[in-house]
Amino acid sequence: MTRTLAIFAALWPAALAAQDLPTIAEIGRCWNPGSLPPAARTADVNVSVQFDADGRPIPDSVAPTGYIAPDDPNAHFAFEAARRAVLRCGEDGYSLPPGYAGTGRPAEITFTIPEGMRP
Amino acid sequence: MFRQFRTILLAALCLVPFAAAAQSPGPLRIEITEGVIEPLPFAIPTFVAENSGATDAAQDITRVIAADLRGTGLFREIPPDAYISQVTNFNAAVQYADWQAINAQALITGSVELAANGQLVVRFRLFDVFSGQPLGDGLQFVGAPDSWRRMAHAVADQVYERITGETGYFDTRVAFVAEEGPKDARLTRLAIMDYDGANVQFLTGNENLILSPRFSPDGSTVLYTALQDGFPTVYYMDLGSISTRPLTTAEGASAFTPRFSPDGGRIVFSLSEGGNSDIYVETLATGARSRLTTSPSIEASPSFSPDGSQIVFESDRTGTQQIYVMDANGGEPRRISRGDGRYSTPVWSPRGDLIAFTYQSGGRFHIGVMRTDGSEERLLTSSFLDEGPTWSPNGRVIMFTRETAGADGAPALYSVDISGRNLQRVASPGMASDPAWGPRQGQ
Repeated sequence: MTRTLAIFAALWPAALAAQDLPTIAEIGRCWNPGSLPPAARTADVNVSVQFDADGRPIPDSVAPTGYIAPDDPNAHFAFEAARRAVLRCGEDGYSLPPGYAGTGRPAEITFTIPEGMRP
Repeated sequence: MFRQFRTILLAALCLVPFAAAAQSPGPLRIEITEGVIEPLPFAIPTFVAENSGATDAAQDITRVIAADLRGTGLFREIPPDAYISQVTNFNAAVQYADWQAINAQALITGSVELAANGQLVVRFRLFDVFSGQPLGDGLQFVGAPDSWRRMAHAVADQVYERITGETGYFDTRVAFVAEEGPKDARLTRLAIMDYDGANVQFLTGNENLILSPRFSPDGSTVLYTALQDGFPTVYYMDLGSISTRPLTTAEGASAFTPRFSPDGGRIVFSLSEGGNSDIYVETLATGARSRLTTSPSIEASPSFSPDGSQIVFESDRTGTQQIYVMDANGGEPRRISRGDGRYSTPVWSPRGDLIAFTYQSGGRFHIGVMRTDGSEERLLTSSFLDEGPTWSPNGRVIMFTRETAGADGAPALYSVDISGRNLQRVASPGMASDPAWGPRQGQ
């Protein structure tokens, strides 16, 4: 994993690699499906999020854009876990590619439950 | 290798849109396929005592709520000495930044008041710290001061439900067999307690051997088996009046391992006549009784599916104890257990998707779960003696008896999450066995 991140960093635009902020691809470390009900741990959700000028996610912009889930309630709880991950990891801002911080251009993030975390 | 390949592939997938982002106004697309499973950190400042008469209750209620949530294994309490903010006014604005700084994801605030009419009033609010907003509406519970534990459990149930999406199981009781004395002269009593071991009540004397208590779906009645003069007899106990009456059986017949139907209108049990035991069902309103199995083998431990349409039970008809499922009206049972060992005490989950069981193999006992067709069998525990699973009302946790080995071996109650995590001993007075988890109170 460390080696992968090193490769990732090497390919990252230099200005951004210098920043000490998580990349948005690192949201997984804040994504905790463990407390979800079993049925929600089969749900894959897509969320859209916009960022302020410092790369912080704008809480009201985090919205579901699609899901594959057994039903709406379970999709809701899967979305809540995703939203918490987006907001928590981006508390100090994300290192974003140019053109996304403070522009209203969204990131669309698909959260797919890993096989090992499914019930 | 595959994992590494997948990670690199994901990294590459992430880079493509980044590279394109400078030219394209489209959204940045990311796929996240790695997460963590960790307890969700929460903060719960001591509830505000609105008057001096509520000071102790405020502290006690706060501690019970925290213990309920911690005990699930799904939540982690942030130590109060790490708090930056102190909550001294229930209606004051929440300082989200202070709670974010200590990584609290959920914040529970509350107040307790001893009202002029002598009632205790408990209010609480739950906040999603990183979203900076309440998670649901605030709620208020009112009750007698001596019901403070139930009000604390009710708050914890609400918090659990709003975060996990599952029904809470804290405001529940457990019937069990309390044991005392040496192993070769054990005395037993029927007892009941809160799920966390508080408020123990002994419901019978210790003259007879008590076995297999089972709650009615509404929690008002407990069925149990008492061994009197060497014969097992099933009794109903009304928990309101602590009065009992026996299940009528023919002379020389023995009834055991009873359980209510999901609607409470029938009981299913084993009846042994002439040395052969079979499964019977009885309609409580009429006393009408039907025999569901007609095998020369031992059939025992029947349990209804939540919709009442099927019954799972154990039978040694093939030479070893195995688990079978049949229609609730009888018919040809189908074997669902496939392992080499012995399967017993099957119990259908409240969700209907799993069957919990005791499994014995190679000198070890296990608590396990399988799908209702016998697939996806998983053993959750292993010890010298684990047996007798019972489900929490939400189907998330299993409680069972674990007995230690040796002359001084003693039974105790344990619980485990259906994922196999969070194995822990359940508080109980002295030795305890054969738990039966009741429904949520007040429902």
